[in-house]
Amino acid sequence: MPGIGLYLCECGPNIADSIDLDLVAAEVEKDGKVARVERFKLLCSEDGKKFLAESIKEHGYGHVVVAACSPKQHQTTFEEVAAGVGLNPHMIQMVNIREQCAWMTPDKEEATGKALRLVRAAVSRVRYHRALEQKEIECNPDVVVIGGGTAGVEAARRIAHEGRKVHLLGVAGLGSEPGADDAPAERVEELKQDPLAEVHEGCTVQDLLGFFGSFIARVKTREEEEIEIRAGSVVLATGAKPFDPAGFPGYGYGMLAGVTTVGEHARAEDGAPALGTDRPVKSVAVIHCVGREKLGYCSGTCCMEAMGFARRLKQSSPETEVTEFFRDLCLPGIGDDGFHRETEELGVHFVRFRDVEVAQDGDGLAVRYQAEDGSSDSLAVDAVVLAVGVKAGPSNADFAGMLNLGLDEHGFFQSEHPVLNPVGTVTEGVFTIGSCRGPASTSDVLIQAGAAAGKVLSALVPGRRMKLETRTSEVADKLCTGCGLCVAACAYGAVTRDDARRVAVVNEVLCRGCGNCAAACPSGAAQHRQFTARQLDQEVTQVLG
Amino acid sequence: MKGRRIPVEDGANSALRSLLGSLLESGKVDAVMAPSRIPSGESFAWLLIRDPELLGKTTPLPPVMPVQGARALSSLGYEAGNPLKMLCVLRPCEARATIELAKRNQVEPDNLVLLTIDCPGAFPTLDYTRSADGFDRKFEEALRGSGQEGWRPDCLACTAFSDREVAPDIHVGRVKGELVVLARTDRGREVLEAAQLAGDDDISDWRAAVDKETGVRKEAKDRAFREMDERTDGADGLDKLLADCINCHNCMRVCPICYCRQCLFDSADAVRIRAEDYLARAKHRGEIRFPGEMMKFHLGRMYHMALSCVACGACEDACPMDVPVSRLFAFVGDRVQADFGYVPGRDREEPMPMTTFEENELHAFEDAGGAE
Repeated sequence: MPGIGLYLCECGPNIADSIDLDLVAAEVEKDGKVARVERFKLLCSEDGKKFLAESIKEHGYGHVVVAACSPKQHQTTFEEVAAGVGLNPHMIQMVNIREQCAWMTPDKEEATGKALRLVRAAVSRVRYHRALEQKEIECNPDVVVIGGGTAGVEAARRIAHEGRKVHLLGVAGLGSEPGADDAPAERVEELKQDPLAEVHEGCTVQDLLGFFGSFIARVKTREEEEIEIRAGSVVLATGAKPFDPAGFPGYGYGMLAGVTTVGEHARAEDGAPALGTDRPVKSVAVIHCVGREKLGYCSGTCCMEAMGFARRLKQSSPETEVTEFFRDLCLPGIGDDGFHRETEELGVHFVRFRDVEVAQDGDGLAVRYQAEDGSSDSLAVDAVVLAVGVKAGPSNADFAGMLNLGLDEHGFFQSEHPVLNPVGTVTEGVFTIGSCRGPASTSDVLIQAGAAAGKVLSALVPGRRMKLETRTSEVADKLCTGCGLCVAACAYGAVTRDDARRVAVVNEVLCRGCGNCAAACPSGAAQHRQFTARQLDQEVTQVLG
Repeated sequence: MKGRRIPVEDGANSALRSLLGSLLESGKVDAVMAPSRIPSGESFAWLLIRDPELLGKTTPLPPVMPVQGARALSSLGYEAGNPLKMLCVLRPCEARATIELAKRNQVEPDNLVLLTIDCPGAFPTLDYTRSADGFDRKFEEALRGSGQEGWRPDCLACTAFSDREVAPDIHVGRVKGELVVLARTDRGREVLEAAQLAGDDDISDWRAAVDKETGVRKEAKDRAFREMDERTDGADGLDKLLADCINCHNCMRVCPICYCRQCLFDSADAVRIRAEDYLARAKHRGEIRFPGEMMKFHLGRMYHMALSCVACGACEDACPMDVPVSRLFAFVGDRVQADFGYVPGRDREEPMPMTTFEENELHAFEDAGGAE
């Protein structure tokens, strides 16, 4: 039977000066569990690795204990050495006698005693190590895009155009259904015709699990069918919500006839818009910056939308008087400024206010405002149209929870880095585009969609392979009572309950080997492959001595 | 809350039997699970009864609890969607354990109508089998409101003997020569209405009597916990308390909450220590007691079930060595449950602390110096 080899690393003077390694070697040898103890000056050096490889090979060890530094530093180093001479890397157990003994415990005798206990623990546990198999899976090159507004449709279109399979999920109640915002209908149609694109409208995303190369979206379709969509990366384009002015009586929204929002007219491109009043409309006030104070930021897109609306109104009925009330005009870039000038040239008036209020005035409405110079004034109009800001959608928190994403103080998705990786997130393989990451103009949205499509296409090349975690959990059917504690304890959605067989099942691809299920399981049915009850018991018993 | 008052003429069990008869004949339940005296007369076992004529064999409130009702129920196997509805006649601690098992998918509660009865306590099963007649007389006296001797220690310290800490469908209270029947859930109300047992009688005298008795039991419980606190104090307090244990694992086998298919400590893969390890450890310490898993067994079981322990006393009743194992578990359970604000069996919807995570738990842990 192949024995256990114990190697003690001196780490130069680091360990040798603070721990009596000869004493450790002598005591462990007396226990009779190891075949041989050898010490070496610096096992991680090229000479050290060569010595280790030759020694393991020469003695034909089945298990090896290396007492050296932190496994964080050199576990992989020694595992590679083992693999190089045909020993399964899981048969190695490291003991950290540098950081946890030599550097921590000043008294040499105490440090030696501590090292001895830890070495004994490792020797006892390594006897029960099994060879674990390294599995690889091929990365899934498919992409799932969540949200079917301008951003989502554009990203999906570009990805499919490059020959990659894409699933577009229009999410119910998010304002990001295909065609729900200004996503051009012909592009949605084009996508539906594309054999590489699958468009699911009106879905609810129940869960998103997994990691770069292997995500699973658990989705309920509009037909109430529960489906699983597998993809290698996820693009979130879940949109945002318009600020709701109904809670602010000063705007009269929802209370006075003739008060509407710009968004309500966004798609009424032909003819005169219905402005919420039966009266003939000869004068209209457009109020900017609605919600800005409450939201705490300038949404940046509403000024252009408000002017666009005013121009459409002027074009359909040139005799209508249109006045835009603004606190600030947000006109970045060359084009926006020109757009503003042209709007003025069309006869739209612009009035800057400090404060503004909409009130009933006879049959019509009055916009009472405090002008820039502090004077108060009032303008009688037939209709008022509010340019409201943009706020984060309520589903952002749900998706952030599912994918471990960060949200900013306003509830929008955070970039991995605002400059270096604006459409990427802290979770590899997950991208955010469009107004779910903050208010954005249509052209910005299209640029973001293109950027995300490029990132996805270049990072996730078909055929790319991925090594799975080997130190995962497993469930012994014979011991499992199907109580479901492990299902609740799993943070990765990797453990599910097979209701037909009444046992828990571990998905090896999703399992990250945290061991929560094993800790929750009372019967030992769920066990971590390299922290089995027996291994832990052996280890703890020796440490407590 | 209102209920239906039923006069007790020929003893509580007789009145309870006719109550069960009415419920079974209502057609809302298909079978009754109730304790019945075994032919020798020395003990009681669970019967499943579908014929109302046979309910005469039952003793709905027996003087002993040889097999915990929840344990019996979980042995039936659970099957969602089974159309057969079963009326389960249980002591409050048995119903509480049933609710804890349902949270672990070991009992299918949708098929059950849980009926609990104000419990006077139970006698140690072994004592009873040796002198059944004597204990029967004592029990009858207790049901009539007198006689307080010979009970199991857990019963004397039980504050959950009525319906305050349990969520049955129907509860039956006992007060001066009468039973009070009340629905606790919609399902219970439906059954009672079908049996024409729903009622609107004033039951405040029963509530007052329960509150008074709860106060008495609470004092006994505090005394018992103080005693256990002292006995388990110090490095070897627990060692001494469990010293008589012979590793028979009876306590685990009768525990309703111990639902593992096979206990880790009974398994072939048990964490048994090799002879060489015993010898090595004996060398360090000079001596070593073996088999060595006795303490680990008790601590492991405690860790697994302390949050759900309903202090039913079944473990101690089954212990051949009179180890105060139930009193120990009740004491530890009470403290752990208080830490999580969890009362086992009180609420069917209340999630088990093990299955939930609250961020403030982490901060509470940090505040207690746990993360230093």
